[in-house]
Amino acid sequence: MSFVIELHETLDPFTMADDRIADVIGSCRTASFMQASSIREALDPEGTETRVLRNLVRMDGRDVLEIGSGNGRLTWRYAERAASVVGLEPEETHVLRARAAMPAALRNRIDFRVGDAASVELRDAAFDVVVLAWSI
Amino acid sequence: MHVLQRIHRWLRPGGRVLDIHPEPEAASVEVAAHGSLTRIGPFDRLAIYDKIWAARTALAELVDDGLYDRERSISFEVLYHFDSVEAWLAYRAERGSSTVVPPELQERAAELLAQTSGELLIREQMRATRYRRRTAPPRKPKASPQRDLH
Repeated sequence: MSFVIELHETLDPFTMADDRIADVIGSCRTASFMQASSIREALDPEGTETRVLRNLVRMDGRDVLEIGSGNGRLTWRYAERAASVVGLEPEETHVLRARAAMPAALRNRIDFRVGDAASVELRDAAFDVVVLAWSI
Repeated sequence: MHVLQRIHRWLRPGGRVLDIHPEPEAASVEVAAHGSLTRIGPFDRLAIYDKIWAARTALAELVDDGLYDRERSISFEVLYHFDSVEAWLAYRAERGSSTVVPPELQERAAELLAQTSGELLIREQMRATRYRRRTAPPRKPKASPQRDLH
């Protein structure tokens, strides 16, 4: 499976890459969360997207906004590291599915909302990271 | 106001945007069985390519305008796994995919799956890019801004 990295990286608290052990632990936790929530996901069970996400942005202790969160597929893969996650999704059926599938351990951390990024009202300077997952 | 300008307000100083989307090119439909891969054919989703290019243009313009710095980009591929063509189509329907899978592609995939008891794989190229919210005043727009779309 190809994995091409371009451009240099800027070392700062958002992107420090020396977290291989954390990655392994995170992968195990993600797997257990996904098992516990009975998620059967056809897309990327290998976790390539997760590794890319962790390589690019460190979510530890961050307040995250995910635009186009869908059924939570990507959210489960990083949320346990974040301080908080707001998942914004215009399709109500997807939001209901995400809420139903939410692992109990993440209920106080993730807020899935029905909404459109073009019209929703959110506080200024409320987030450290915004994830656009196949959503622009 | 473009969504990305709203996002700029929602981000804290120095905050990041992580944009993940498919590359505007055909996905590959394959059957994996008994340790080998057989490529059925390309699956073109022309309906989304315009959206992808429009999104890249919008991001490039905001970088040119000084709202974001483009920091790093990673190209990678993801695999979708399905037991059958029906499962693939149901997955697409559930997600509201608008592109029609050509009937001949469905038939070839179904035939090979039946012969091999294999697994249907959809291989898609992706790009993830990290942008940093700038706090400095926007740069003056260039007369002929470079569009970093690639």
